[in-house]
Amino acid sequence: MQTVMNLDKVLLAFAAALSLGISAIATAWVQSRIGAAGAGALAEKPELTATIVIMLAIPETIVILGFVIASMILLGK
Amino acid sequence: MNLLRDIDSPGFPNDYLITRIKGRRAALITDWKAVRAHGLAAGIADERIWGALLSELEWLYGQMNRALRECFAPVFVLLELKTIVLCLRNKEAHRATEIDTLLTHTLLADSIRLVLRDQPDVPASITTLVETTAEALPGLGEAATAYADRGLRGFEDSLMRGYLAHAATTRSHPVIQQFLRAFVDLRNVMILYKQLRWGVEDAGAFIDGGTFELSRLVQLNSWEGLAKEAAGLRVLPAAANQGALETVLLTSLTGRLRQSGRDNLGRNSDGVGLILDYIWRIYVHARNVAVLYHAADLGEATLERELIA
Repeated sequence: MQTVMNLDKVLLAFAAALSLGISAIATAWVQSRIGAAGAGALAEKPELTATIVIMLAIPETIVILGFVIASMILLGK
Repeated sequence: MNLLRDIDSPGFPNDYLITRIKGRRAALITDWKAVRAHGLAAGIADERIWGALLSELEWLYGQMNRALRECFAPVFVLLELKTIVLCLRNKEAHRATEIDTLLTHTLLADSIRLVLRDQPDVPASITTLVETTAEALPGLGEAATAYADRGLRGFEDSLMRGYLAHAATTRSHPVIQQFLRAFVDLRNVMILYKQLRWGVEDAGAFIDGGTFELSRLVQLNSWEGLAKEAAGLRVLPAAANQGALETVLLTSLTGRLRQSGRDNLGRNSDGVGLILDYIWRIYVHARNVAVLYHAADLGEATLERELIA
């Protein structure tokens, strides 16, 4: 009985780690591409700075959602 | 031996370069009617027009990462062949300043630049080029022989044919290879046109490496055959003269490259199609400026026909 409960905890922790880890990797990948393209756009049109900062910040929502889901997995009943 | 200049800089990521290209692409002239109406800026000459193109190519080459530089090397060399020929023409005319202008932004390797700048005359330049570069530049040996027989025009023709045949049959990125093969097709249709126009038959004149088999091209020795080939290239066969046919063929190639640049999925997801499209656009831009420079006195209708939109 104790072993089954421990396995449940391990699986929940693993799911939370995957949720946060995968969303973090996805955010990093998207931001690397947006960052590179944004730097190119800034080199040609410096007036686009504000737009590019916003665009670069948007993928952060992915990792935040991943964090929320991880929290729900660990704290939810 | 490397034919192109070696740059220490590792370059920039593809996404960065693609965005910059999209920004610069928007700055290219698209309204040629307005340019015709206002005229070209003062001081334009062939060397300046080609120099501006080389300057943009130099910028592009410097921004590329090493993998892209290697990928685009056949295209850069193809365009730089004209720099070699222009330098030799200026050398023949003893115009050292124009040679310096051309060599300022060229991507050619330092050894080739030194030969083009320092050798006293055309025969010495060609001899030294053959000694130093013949292995790396296919067609140069034959071009040197052609120079002895037919002068610089023969040299240019033979060099271009030799290099194109080599580049189109050498393994490269699919988009680049498709472009080179389409370019060979274009030249072959032009050769077929000239042979029909002047009533000459020369099977050896065609360039290997295109999508048409050479044996088939030789058999198509009629206007109907030319029309069929032109139709195969998705081109209207009704071009009235050599210049018009060339413009129609170049316009068709431009359309295909634009389509390839727009397709951002599958094999073009690395941006090679878009970059090639940009290189072709700046080449066409330079060609249009040259047409306006040389043919400004011709009528509106002729200019309209000669300019590639």
